[in-house]
Amino acid sequence: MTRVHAVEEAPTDGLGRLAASAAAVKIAASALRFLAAGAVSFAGLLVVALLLSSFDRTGAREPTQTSASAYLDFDLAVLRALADRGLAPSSPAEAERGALGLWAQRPDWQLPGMSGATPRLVGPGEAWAAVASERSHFRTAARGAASALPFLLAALAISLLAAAFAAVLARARDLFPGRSRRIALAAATAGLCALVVYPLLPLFNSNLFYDRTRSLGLGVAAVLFVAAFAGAMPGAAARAYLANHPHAQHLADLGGRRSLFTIARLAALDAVEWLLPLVPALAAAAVFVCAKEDQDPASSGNASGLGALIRAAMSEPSVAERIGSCALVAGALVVLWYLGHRFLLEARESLGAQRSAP
Amino acid sequence: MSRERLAAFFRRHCPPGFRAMGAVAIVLCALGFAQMAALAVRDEPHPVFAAALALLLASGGAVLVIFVRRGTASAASFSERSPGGAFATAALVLFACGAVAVLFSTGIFFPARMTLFWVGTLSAARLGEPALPMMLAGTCLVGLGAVATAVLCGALWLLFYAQGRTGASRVTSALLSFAGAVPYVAFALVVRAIFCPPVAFLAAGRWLALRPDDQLAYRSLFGMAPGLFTASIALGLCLGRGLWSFLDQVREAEEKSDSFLAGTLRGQKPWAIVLRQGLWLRRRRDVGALLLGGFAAAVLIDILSNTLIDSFRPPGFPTYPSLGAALFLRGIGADGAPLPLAGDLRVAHLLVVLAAVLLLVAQTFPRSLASIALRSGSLRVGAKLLANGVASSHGLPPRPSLQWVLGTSGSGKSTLLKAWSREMRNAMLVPQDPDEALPAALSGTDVGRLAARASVREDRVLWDFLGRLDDGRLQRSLFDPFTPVSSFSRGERQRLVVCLALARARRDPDCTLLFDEPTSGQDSSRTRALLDCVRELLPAQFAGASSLVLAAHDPESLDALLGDRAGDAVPDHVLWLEDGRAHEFTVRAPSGEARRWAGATAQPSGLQGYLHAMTTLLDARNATSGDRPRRSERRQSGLRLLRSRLAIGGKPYAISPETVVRGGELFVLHGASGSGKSTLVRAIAGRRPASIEVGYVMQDPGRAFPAEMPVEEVLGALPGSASERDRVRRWFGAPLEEMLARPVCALSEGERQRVVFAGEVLRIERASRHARLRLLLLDEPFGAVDPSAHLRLMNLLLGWLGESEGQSAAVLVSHSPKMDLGLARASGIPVTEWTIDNGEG
Repeated sequence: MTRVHAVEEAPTDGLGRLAASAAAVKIAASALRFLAAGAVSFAGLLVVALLLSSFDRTGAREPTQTSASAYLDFDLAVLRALADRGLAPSSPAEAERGALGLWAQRPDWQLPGMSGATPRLVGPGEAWAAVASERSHFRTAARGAASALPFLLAALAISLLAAAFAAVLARARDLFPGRSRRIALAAATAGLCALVVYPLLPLFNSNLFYDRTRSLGLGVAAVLFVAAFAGAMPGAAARAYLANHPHAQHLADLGGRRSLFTIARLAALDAVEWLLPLVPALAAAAVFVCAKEDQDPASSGNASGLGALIRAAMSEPSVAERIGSCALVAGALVVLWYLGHRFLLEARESLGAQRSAP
Repeated sequence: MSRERLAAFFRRHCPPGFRAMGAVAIVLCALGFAQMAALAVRDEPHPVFAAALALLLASGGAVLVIFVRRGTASAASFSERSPGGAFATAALVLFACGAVAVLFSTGIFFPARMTLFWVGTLSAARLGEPALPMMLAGTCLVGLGAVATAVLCGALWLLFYAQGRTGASRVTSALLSFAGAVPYVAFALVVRAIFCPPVAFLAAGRWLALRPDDQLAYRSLFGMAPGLFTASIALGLCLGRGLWSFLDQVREAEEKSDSFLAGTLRGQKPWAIVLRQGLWLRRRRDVGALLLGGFAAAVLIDILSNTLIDSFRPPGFPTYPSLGAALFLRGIGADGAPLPLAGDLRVAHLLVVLAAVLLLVAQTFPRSLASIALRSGSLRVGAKLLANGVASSHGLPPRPSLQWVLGTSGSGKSTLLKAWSREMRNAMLVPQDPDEALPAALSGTDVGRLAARASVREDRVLWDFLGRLDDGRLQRSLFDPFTPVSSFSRGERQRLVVCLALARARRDPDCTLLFDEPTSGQDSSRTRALLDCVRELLPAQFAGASSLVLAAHDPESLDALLGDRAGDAVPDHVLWLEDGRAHEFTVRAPSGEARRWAGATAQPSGLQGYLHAMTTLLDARNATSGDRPRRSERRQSGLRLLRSRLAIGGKPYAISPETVVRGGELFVLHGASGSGKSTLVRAIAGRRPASIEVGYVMQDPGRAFPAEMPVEEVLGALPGSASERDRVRRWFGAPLEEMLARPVCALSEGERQRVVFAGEVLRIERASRHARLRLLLLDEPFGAVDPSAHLRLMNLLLGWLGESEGQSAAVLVSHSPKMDLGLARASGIPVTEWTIDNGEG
């Protein structure tokens, strides 16, 4: 015998499915828009590269120069001499004579020579060939932007997550009764330290900035450095933890622990406003970690591209060549900035409802 | 300068709440002006760049000083200290320490000393300037220059807005957006590539190479002016882009606000309203955070980008005065690897990064609000005592008794409800302002899901409650995941919040509910339906251990619920707040008899007046309850203030040709909440003819006006003569003099409504000597006032219309139209009903 259960269908039965579908639609639309923005921005970089390649700027190579270490050794010696001078019993005039004597021994120092070649226009085919070649500056710039982009996006994403987590910590300490409350409070303190203090520590390590033999690698440490740079992630977490929005209390009263997801989502939405002005700083930090990785002799990874391009920009024989390389670095950074900005806007679109009625 | 004058100068330029920005403004001005003065006596290697940099600093600082001065000219004073302020102070002290260290070691930052140095008064031993302070100062100067550039960008935006040059504004915005998008590291590369060989960084490079003869020429920071100037501009454009888009957001939000409309009606310029209200009073902390955070970020980017560029520097490429150049000052060891970083360089790095991080973190602290405390029977907000003799939440009667909290507006009812809700673990406060409960970003579907997540089938309960309120629109909104709740009317949001609370109470009988004016934004039918739902929470046999607390002004609520379970011998409890004291009563109403009040003290005079006013209002309602809606018998021609069609909530509405305004008449506009009454009133205010003087009392002055705006500014027109003062006192209901300097957030909702009411009446009376008609637009002005104030204001309004000899008219949006119509008809004032039907009509 088959038993038939009559289940009354409530008008709100489909609400969960509708919410899930709407969230999926919003995320898919955001992802599509982001991908389109990525394609447009890299196409823009290609156009810049094509324009730059339309000029033939071949010029004479600059002459070989004295190595940098020779200058550095000399400068250090002068510095030491000047530092010692303050302690020595000699007169200022004598010290100045000593400094001048030191200076006389310095290797000749000249700026790189300027190329006098005038750029000339080349055809589109030739320009395209220059851009499409394996070792073109466009490829270097695009590879550099592509390698720095994951760091930027990951840093923004973990900043949003940190804000969400901090908001949950702030509410959790009120939601647990008795002994659990003390545990929740301890967990909240530890969590806050992990979100706010820990990521900031590398910023205080001067060797990470000034030591050519050191880098952050291309892992979690590098992402955390980018996220912490300009206080992005710690600021987002601290703002979410300290915020005194009355609706967070109301939502907690309404749904208890089950409302934590909504509270976290609202905190992430709020963090977007904090992160938006910081995107250019984070883009620069993303380039920095990639370029430092390039420079690190201990690293065996592939070159990021932008490091090579910066090096090229500073050692090209002619000003026009330098400007071309710099323009590509700038273009790559604009691509990073634009995509970082777009990422945040799409995150806001996915997390919240539309701002005006349809 | 004496100590008092110094303190006065500090107070004027660095007011509380804006000290860091004020300090930055003063530093910018001092640095800029001093260096401009020093240029006259110094042999500057790059005078044009140095002058441009000095001008940039001075003009940016001057704009900031003007902004701070203008904003604090009549600002309410806040003296509370916040951790954010302490962090910002610590950061600025660290920067200042760096500057002082430079001053004492080199004399660079001190123009007088520099002048002495140039004329030979200072010792020649100063020739060997240490490089480190120079680099620290260079980095700080780049940050300050970036802030100055961003401030000038902001001033340009305001100038365009003031002149209405939207085209130029758009073009500049696009240019700024592109320029600001170029991060500094690339900009610095381009600048170096272009300028390096001929002029700019040659100076810095030579100085760092320590050639003694060149050093004489390039020893000052301004000797490196080209580099510092271009770096400041580049970073400032990044900040300026953020500031520009922030200002656009502020303008957009401000132009939609009721206070903007009110300000326009008062004859204020739009740019002045945006500057004063939108920028200074509402968002000045955001502006400060943007600029101070930008300063810190600029410092960090400067360190990072120069490190990056310098680390790729080919031989012979000049360096730049920032910490990034430190790499090249320590030399390379015998093995070819760079030597370890010296201790002072490490300390310098630590100092600058710490200061920048502190400055950034300082911007994350919220403004500290005055705390609410209920201790030993005393209810306080901060240090201010609101009431004595207040019982704690433990003394609340369990259901089915109902705890009422009554009192005149401003007596502390909402504060008491907040204090009780914080004392209890399982309690839910339904605030008077629905925006405190519902985040604007949630959609109706999100709200439904929230209910469903709280408990199985609670979304169904919510649906049922909305159905009982006959609110098909809100029911449908549960299935709309794309429209935010912020697009609903205030009454709709309030209903949603109340229904969520009711659903929660139905699920959990041990949950105490505290309702703060739950029906203030509801029409009569919805009020009755809501009260029926509340009544269901008070069955005669209640098994739970929770209470129900209700603070209400609405006579309908009081009439419907107070003591109405007396048939079951269940008394209601009333806490009456008056003159800083709480009075407790129990109320019973045996069937067919009047309510009986019993308490330890006699009824205070305020309570007697309150009950009398309530009775009068209910009598007025009953007097009109049998009447059909009717239009005025008068058919004289009037002024048509609206076009024939109007869009409300995206739907087109046809406006009846009879919708005209006539002098000496009261027009009562009513309709279901969410039907568009406020939109209609705003449309009238927005297109008033020049011959009409319009006064506008908005529905929610607490949200319309910035929280920190002083009452005298909300009032609009300060009473001058004794008769004006007397008139304001009559309309407000009490002397206003003590309140003039207080911020609007320190007033209750009812007090705010009365302030705006009194101010608008005074203003249009003053300004309307040559006007054809004085029209008062009143958008639910009695929603948050107590019955006695409602009755008094209504009588004053009717008297004002009667005395005007046909020169005044009023449009009154009302959720209790029967009461207001009854009072108007009883007074003999001509009255016309306006209604809004759903859909095309």
